[in-house]
Amino acid sequence: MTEAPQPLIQIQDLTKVFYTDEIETHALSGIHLSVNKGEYVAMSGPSGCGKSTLLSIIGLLDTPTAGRYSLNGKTVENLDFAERSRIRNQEIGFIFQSFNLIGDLTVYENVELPLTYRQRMPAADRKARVMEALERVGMAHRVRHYPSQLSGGQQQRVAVARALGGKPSILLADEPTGNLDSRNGEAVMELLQELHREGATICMVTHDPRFAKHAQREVHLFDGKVVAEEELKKLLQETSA
Amino acid sequence: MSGLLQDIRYALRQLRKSPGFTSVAVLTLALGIGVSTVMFGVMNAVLLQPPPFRDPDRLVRILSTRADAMDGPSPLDVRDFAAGNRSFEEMAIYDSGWRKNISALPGSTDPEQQPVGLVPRAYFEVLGVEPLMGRLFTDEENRWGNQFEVILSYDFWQARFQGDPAILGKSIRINDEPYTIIGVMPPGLPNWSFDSSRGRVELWTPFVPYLSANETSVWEESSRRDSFFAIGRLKAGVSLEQAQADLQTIAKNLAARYPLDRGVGVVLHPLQEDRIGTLRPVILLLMGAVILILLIACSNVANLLLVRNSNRAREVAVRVAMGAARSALIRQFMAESLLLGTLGGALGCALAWWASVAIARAHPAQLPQLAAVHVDLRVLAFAMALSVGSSLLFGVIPAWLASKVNLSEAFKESGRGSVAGRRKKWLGHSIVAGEMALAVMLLVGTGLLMQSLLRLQKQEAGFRVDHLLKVHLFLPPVRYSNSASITHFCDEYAARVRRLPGVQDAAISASYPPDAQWMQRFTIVGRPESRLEDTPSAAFNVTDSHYLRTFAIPLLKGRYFTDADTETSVPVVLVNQAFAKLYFPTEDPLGKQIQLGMPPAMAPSNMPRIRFTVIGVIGNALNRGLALPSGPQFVALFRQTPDLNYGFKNLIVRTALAPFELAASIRGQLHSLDANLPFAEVFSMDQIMEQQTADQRYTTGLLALFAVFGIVLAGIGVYGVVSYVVVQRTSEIGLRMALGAQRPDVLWLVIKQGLGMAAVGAVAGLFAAWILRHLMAQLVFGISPADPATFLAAAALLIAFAGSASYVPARRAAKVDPMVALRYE
Ligand SMILES: Nc1ncnc2c1ncn2[C@@H]1O[C@H](COP(=O)(O)OP(=O)(O)OP(=O)(O)O)[C@@H](O)[C@H]1O
Ligand SMILES: [Mg+2]
Repeated sequence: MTEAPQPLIQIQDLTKVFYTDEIETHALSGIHLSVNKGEYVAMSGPSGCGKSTLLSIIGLLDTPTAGRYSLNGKTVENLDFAERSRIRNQEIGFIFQSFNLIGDLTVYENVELPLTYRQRMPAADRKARVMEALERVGMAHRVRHYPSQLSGGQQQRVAVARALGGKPSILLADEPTGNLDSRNGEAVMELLQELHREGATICMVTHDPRFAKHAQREVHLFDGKVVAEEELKKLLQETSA
Repeated sequence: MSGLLQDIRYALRQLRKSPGFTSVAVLTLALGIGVSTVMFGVMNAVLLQPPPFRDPDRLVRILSTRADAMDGPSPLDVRDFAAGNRSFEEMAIYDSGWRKNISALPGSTDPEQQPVGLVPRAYFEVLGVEPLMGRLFTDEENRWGNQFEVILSYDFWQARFQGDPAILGKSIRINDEPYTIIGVMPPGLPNWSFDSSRGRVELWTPFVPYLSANETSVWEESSRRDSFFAIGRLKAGVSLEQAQADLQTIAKNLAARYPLDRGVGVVLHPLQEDRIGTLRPVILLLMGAVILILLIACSNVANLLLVRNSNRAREVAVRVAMGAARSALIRQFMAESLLLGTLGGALGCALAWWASVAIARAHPAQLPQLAAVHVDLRVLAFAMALSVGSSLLFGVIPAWLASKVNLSEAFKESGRGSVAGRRKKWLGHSIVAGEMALAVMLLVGTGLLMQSLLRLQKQEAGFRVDHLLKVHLFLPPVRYSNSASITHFCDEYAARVRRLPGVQDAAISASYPPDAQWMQRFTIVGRPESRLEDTPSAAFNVTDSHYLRTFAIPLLKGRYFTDADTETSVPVVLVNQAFAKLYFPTEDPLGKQIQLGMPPAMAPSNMPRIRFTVIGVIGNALNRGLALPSGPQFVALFRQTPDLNYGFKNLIVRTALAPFELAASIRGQLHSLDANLPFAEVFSMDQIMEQQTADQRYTTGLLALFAVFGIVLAGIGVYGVVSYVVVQRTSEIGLRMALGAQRPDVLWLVIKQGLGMAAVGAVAGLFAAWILRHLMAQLVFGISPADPATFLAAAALLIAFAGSASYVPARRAAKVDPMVALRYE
């Protein structure tokens, strides 16, 4: 018997509808997507096509309106808040466009944050993990600094360390370079690539075609649907015409 | 555990980071917790602390009832109760502290007055107090002629005899008779079983109810209704109701046997209850007021936290994205609340400690219990519970809301105007409206009490209050043994005082307004003699012929007393208007005759039978305190009532100068006549009238202070919320101005918010005050506890105040530069 590789993320026929003031917004409609362990996937598409929404659902920050989603073999689309918190804490590392470090916590404490929400983790282990992650991103010398004392690139590297510290199954990044200049942006991209080479699974949203090429695979979204690259080009031409 | 520590560390950092928020929140809480703790300290000292007696809950006061009136029982009642009951271990009848002249104290030549308690040994036995030194009175010493023994209080022994260890057997003079000191009571015996207006009782002599041994039988009939104080100790396991039923059976039998006891019942009050009964509504009112203040304070802090937390939505979202469980988030926010509560509580305790010391030092004489106010463990525990409780109160809702972030919105670069945001705003406004409701309740309460006080003080006295001086005299029976000698002294003293420069008139009188301490049974000659128990009684006074002129009480009909009314002329009385109206509604009272005491046919034969002729009707002067209209009263001359011409007298002087300027010369006249009489209880009538409202003024003053706290805190609440709204709406306001809104439009736009919250709050508060009006009913005088004018005034005051509090941020809004404001978008 040959063991088929179990996909880390398996999404079937997923839709997301937002209801605001009697207006329905179909942000996602009928998404099929699977991501294997160790894959590096880039998601792109025009503004408002649903990239962030999809990433939020993958990251269990939001729930789908319909469809099936299994993470690491576990069905997760209908979990309650507490259970989602627990899984998020264990399995998912977030990297945001605007870093989202907490200004009142030091670099060390920011990285430690997800670990403090974990049950029964000895302090010594926690410390080892935090330092390991900070060293990995080259920020170990700045543990006592506050985010405001760091450059944007440094902040984003701390944010990456925070995502790594919990040893998640997957890293989710929504335009991680969006708020960085190109030099810092590239440094972060290189960091992600290195992490991928070391075995990390990454899902990244990006506008920038250069960065999208870093990924193994590109997923194109248009108007809430996954489309093939050629089709996207055609559609884009149609809309601009 | 380490998570909790981390939360606390983080909370501390947060609080340090915003010292403005932290200090406002901590000060607000300190005020709320501080005043609550002080009031609890008062309640603890006055209501909760058991008296220092053995098994205090078994101690009861025994009272007689007749129709609606409550009275003390007679010695004969208590004798019969004691003999017939199955519920009491022991009973004691005693007399309250009479002022007597004390002399021959070491190191003092001036005689002085002291209230002396007249008590049998059973009094101390019932209370369960044993002498520190010496012994209690024997039963033999409770007989006329054997009563020359005195027991000292610990404080008196210490202060006047420097704690002399060989005190027993020494003697002091009471009313010019030598009394041997036979005992000293232990310290801490509270002065609470006596009428406190007479001062603290420091000396006790035996209680002698009858002037001779055979008097019991002679007076069996009439002295049945002499009223004294009585206390008793219940047997273990006997309930108040059982004991009361037991005594009622006995009272019923007595009523069947003695006509005077007909219709007389008996009730028992727990002794402790009796002492605090009148204080309870006041203390509960003030306790309610401070709870309102604490609630207002908590609301303010809750609102501050709401605003603060809404600025931290992004942080919360990050934590949630990192996998924080809701409980962890709430715990983190609660750590901050608890820290605030603890800091506020600690500061509040300091405040309370300071205030308690101040209260214990300066309290009205009528509330001696307040001397015991202090911060003890119980009070500290209360403050701690309050700190934690208020932390929960003001912290939970903001923490809960803060933990409910909308993740997909929070990470948007500009996530404003969300649904959750609108809900929080609504909540903030309702919290302020709630504060306003609480503040309006405080204002209504204060308004009602203030008006009651004003009405009390404006009561028509019925005499001229200003420029009167009062001095208490006691002519001891040893040296003033008969009516003639008392009359002679009084006439001579008053005449000498009248001759002093600056004195307009002077009179000697047994009692004086606004209280008549003397009730006298009487019959009207010619009226069919009714049943014994229906014999009327009215306020009575014996005076000299200058009394009415000195007080300037108007004569309505007939004539005043004159110097021609002497011991040998026709005995005469004056009746007041209320007396005339009640007893001579259709006839002319002039010329009618009155006899004192029981109807002649029913009373013992040795009762004096003088007929007094009514010669005039005088105006009503207050005789039942300020709160009640004058009751019927009649006044005779003491020289014409030899049987009722006692040594207790008051000198009343009408002065042309400020009353106290004459005190020294009036004292000189007293001592030139009799150097052994103390010059005591010297007060101006203004002081006496003021004394009548001392309690009310104290309570009203406190409540007014609390109302100020409450309204200021509520004002801060309005200010905070409106300021926040202004910040939130800066760009909207800029847009409005760009579109042509004038500054007054903007001012109104903002002030409207504050007024709206105040109006909603005022309506709710007035409704609550109306629901709770019965609680105020026993504390107000001459005004309905739902007085519409007071209600409206309180609401108007509050709305005006809220408008002013909104004006400051409104001005800021009106100064918004539309260009700058719009650039934010
Ligand atoms: N909370 C929400 N309520 C209503 N509609 C929403 C909400 N969040 C997203 N949408 C809508 O869903 C659609 C997809 O939004 P999404 O943020 O996923 O786009 P995106 O692909 O990330 O765009 P961009 O590249 O600009 O970030 C949009 O039309 C957006 O208006
Ligand atoms: Mg997006």
